[in-house]
Amino acid sequence: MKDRDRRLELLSLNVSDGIDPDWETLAEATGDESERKEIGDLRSLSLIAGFYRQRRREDRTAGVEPGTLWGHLEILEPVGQGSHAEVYRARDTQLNREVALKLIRGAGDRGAPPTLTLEGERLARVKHPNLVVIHGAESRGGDLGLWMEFIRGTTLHDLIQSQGPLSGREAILLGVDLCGALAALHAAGLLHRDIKAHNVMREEGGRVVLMDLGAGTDIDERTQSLSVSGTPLYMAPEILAGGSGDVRADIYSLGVLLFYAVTGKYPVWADTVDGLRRRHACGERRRLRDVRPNLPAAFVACVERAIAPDPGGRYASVGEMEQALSTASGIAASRGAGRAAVRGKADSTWRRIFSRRRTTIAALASGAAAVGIVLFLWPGLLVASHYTVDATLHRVADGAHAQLLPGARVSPGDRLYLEFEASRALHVYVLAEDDRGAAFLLFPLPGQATGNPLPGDMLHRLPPDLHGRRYTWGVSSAGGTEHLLIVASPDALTDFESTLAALPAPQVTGGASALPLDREALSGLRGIGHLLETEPSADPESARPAFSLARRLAGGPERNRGIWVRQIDLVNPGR
Amino acid sequence: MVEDRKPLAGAALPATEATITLVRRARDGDGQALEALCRRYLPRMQRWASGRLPGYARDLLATDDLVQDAFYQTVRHIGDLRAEREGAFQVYVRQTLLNRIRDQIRRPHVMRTLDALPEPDARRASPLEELVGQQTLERYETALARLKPEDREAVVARLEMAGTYEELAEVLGKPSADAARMAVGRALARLAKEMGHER
Ligand SMILES: Nc1ncnc2c1ncn2[C@@H]1O[C@H](COP(=O)(O)OP(=O)(O)O)[C@@H](O)[C@H]1O
Ligand SMILES: [Mg+2]
Repeated sequence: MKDRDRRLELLSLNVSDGIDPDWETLAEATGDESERKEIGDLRSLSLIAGFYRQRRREDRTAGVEPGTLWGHLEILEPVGQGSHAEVYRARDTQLNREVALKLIRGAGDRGAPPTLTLEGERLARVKHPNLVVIHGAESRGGDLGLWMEFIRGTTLHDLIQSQGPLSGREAILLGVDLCGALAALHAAGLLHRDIKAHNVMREEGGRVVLMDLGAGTDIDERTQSLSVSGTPLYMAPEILAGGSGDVRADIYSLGVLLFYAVTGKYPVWADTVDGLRRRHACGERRRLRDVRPNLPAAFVACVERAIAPDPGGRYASVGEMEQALSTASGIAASRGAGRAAVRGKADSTWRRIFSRRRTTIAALASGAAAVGIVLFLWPGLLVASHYTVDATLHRVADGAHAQLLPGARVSPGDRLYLEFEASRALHVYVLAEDDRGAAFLLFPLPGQATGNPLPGDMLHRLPPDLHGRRYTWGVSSAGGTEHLLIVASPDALTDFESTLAALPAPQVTGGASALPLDREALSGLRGIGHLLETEPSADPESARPAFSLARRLAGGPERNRGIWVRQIDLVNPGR
Repeated sequence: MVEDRKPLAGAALPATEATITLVRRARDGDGQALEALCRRYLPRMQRWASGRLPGYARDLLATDDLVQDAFYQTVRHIGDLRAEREGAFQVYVRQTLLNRIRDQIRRPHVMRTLDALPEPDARRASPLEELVGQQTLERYETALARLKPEDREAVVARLEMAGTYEELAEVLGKPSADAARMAVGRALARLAKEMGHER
């Protein structure tokens, strides 16, 4: 019954997200009549949701068609939807340059304050390389518009959602940049008031940009009563309690942002604003050390000070905070032996973030660090109960099917598939790696009709069928040993999945494509090997395949708890 | 610091306040507030109605007028506005509109000429009925009515109004888009269960 509720909730979330599972297979997989009906009803809900989603999309594009002129700006395409505004890529027809146009439609009425023009005025007063450059603001036919430089990039929030938390070092550099931008704002007598990961963008070239001053206020306006603005999770307790706050409220939000950047979590969390107030009131908070123990101590101290509940316990200015971060960056730099010295300025920050894949592997090289990271990556490990798994690998050659045992020989042209059955629903991941360390994800892939979790108590064949057709994995090039890794887990391996989501999507031509994996994805999996298998690792940094430490796949049912990992090695000597 | 104002249930986010404030002012006869509210709400209500009106009614009734009229009446007669959340207001408007549409459909269509008579079933069904079947849609309505108000608001805001999670956070008084998403997930699970009891 518990499992069933869980399945229902997961499926409900899918429906809400607009992700269509393979309904037929799901229904077929369910032995229980009433659960089948629930699934059927969820499918109807999904249809209703899809209907209105489509209508809204149509309405939206009908509203502002590409080519539409808004004043001297030609709208090119929608790029973002904020809480109050739509953001478009547009062309300034007078200066012939690309801009971002932020529009609040029908805002000319008294219901919505003209925050946008305010935002323009505010930002026009300050210039800083890490602040978005505003070109102009105007009210036109009831719409309010603000245009600014167009940032080709991603928000920090999306980046962390898709690639996982930053390393301490990256977060330090990010913090230094944001402190600089904030210091400029504060020096101009402005508060930002809405610092959060959604409002920071990372430009393709690597520049960090703070934007969205919609909620900003003049520091002098402080005395006037303000309604709560900004996002509650980032808000300083004194703001949540109805106060107006000062620069230290911005410092608090920046601290929360850095906390989020390295953990993907918030120091104080609740699912209602009242709950949030209560937690603040009784001092319930997560400590950065507890959430992620392996960060540079100076950085941890800096974040904890920024988010001190009492404003008096925080930095008195962002300048002070920037200094503390810079000191921390010196420490982090000297730890990162062999890497370029930290210059601490904008353009280099995000290149580092993208080069962090290698550093994670380095961190895994030492045993203690590996366990720390692995525990962090795979929390499900500690709580799961027993289940059985039965997995066998098969080959189709010349029309004949045969089970493959470890060490079996394969040759180019052979086709493989996996049969998998477990006593409960599991998230299953199948990867292939060759001797040189080139790795691919075989399952799950975007575009496949079947995805995780695979329902329990039924036989699954992977790669999954697509449109009623069977698929297999083909053995293509020859040479050396191929390793196939199968990982199953009661809980979604979210960190791994977010790493995957960041990889370029493969061309899914059938059910049997493969997604090339990078080093970070593998480092996580190597971590599993370390933790689950007692075999000592001789030299984890060598070109040895990432997951050559897992227990061999034998075939036949096995009892397990936590994450189940099996490997099958296939000799592929070529002709 | 002593809180002297009445704490708001759920949230005190600016957009929420703005809509609810507009509703209050519009109810009290502020024409500008009503106009502002219409700009904000009519498009989504028209979209909503487009899924609920039978084919023939879509042709014969001026949908826009029907929606606008229902909306005006709702706001004028909203009486004691207990809704602190925009989501509650949204559900209320949607329900009024649904009742209106049901009335309209039951009423004999005097203006219907013979050659405009609809083909039997196809034209009788609304797009949503065509999509999921009339019985399922009825079970959906009954189950929806049985949910706790918060769950109902979450379902309507996401499924029927196609709100983004960011918007939902404000409409439902949640502190983040993620929290709004989780709330919708749970509400949908409860709705599916409730629909099961309706068979
Ligand atoms: N200058 C810009 N260049 C490119 N994309 C932008 C720009 N400004 C905003 N966006 C996109 O639009 C989204 C919403 O913008 P934002 O200013 O945060 O709006 P809101 O004030 O409504 O939250 C951002 O998350 C981002 O994806
Ligand atoms: Mg924003």
